[in-house]
Amino acid sequence: MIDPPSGRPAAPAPVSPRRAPAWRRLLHVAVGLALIGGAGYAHEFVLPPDRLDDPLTATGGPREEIRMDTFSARLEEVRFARSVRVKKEFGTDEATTRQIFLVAKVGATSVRKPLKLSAFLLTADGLRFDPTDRVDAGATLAEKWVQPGWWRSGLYFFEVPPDKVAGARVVVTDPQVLFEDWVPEVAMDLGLDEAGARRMISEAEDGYEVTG
Amino acid sequence: MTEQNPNDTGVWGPPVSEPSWFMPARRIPRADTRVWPPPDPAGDPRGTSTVPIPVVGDRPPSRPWPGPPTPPAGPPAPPPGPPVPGPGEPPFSAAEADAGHGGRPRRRRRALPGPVKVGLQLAGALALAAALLGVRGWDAYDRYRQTDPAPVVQRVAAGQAATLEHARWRLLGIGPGPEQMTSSDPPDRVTLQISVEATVLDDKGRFLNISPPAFYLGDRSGRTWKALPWKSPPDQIEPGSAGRFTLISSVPRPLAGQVELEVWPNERVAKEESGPYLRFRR
Repeated sequence: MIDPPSGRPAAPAPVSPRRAPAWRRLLHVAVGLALIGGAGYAHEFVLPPDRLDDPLTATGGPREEIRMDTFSARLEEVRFARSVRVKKEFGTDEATTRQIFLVAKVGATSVRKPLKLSAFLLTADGLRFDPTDRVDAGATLAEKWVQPGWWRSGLYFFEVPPDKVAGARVVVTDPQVLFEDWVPEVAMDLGLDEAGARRMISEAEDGYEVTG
Repeated sequence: MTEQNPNDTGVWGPPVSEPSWFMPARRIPRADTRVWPPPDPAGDPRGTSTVPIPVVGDRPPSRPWPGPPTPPAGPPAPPPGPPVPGPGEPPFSAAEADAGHGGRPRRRRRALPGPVKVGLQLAGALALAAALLGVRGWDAYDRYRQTDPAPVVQRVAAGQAATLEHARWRLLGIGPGPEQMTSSDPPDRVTLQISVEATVLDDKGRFLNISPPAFYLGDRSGRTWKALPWKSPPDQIEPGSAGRFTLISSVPRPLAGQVELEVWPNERVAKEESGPYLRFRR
């Protein structure tokens, strides 16, 4: 500091600013810690990278209309069969299995544009079954156009071990051409517990007939 | 620490054997040359360094510094001792500070009241958070639009033709479907038959039947229905000649008079709704 020209001695050092009271400083520390903790907790809601491309799933029970943004679906009926006969224009294909065929009758309608919906079966312990290839896909809903304005019903055939049926869900999804985020998905609970599944499987029919 | 050899460059030791093609004679150390400061250029003996600032041109010599100001011979200085500042006067008064800035009075910054300050900080934080979210969303949208461009509709007046990729398309008519299909219609929908004519423009459009475009019927609210080829042109169409598609589609009965034909280049872009497509007015 330069002495003023008047020759006076230099001014004394400025007094230190008055310190805030202790309770206030404690409050500031608490608010800061709460902000840091809140920021850390907010990261709980950030999806990990391997879950970023998870589908958007709406769930519901059997015979319940489940709506997504692009389509709605409902599980209309569940039956079991030991063999499936697909009647075609010329001849009949017979599909047999050592497990059991789960026949899910699904109704669906679209909201804006025609769709072909694919399905898979998700068991209670997390196993995923694609529709069986023993039954021609032409006899299933996967090959039929689901259009806006009316409901379309169709079948999906799954070949599953009989002990995996209880608590399973049929999931219907709109398959994407390319990799895409937020694929819409509708998961429909079969509504079968252990006893119900055992009873329905014991009543499984031979030669379930379907037109392909 | 080895003994210092004045001829040693410090990098390599001298070769031990006699000189050969592989190990030439040891190099003679170079004489010292001045590299810094750089040697004077031949024409300008003056230094090029700007420190100190060189004398510019033929300026008259500046006046000598007048020296420190003498204290005014007024009343004698107050007795030594710490001057007690006044109650409202800061230790370094504003008037003294302003004296060094040309005497213009500088506006003093007044402290903001507490609520206003907190409000400003909150508003700033909110604005920054909104800007961050906005930039991230815009970035994601931009990347999405780079992979599949926005749909570009080309509306075609009734009876006119329009070009899509390798063919020129013309809508011939939309009418009720054939008897054997309409007889099984449920009461809420109706089967329509659409005739389109395609004139192949170049070699790449020859196989229209094998890789047909995607046909849809669309209403005014943006819903679409599939139109599937029922009768197709022959497998190969020579460039310059025309082929005709007959399409079958089911639409809700009230919309039968208003649906318009959409032609997309292929099923993939039709599903993703990206890129150019045709929409024929009726």
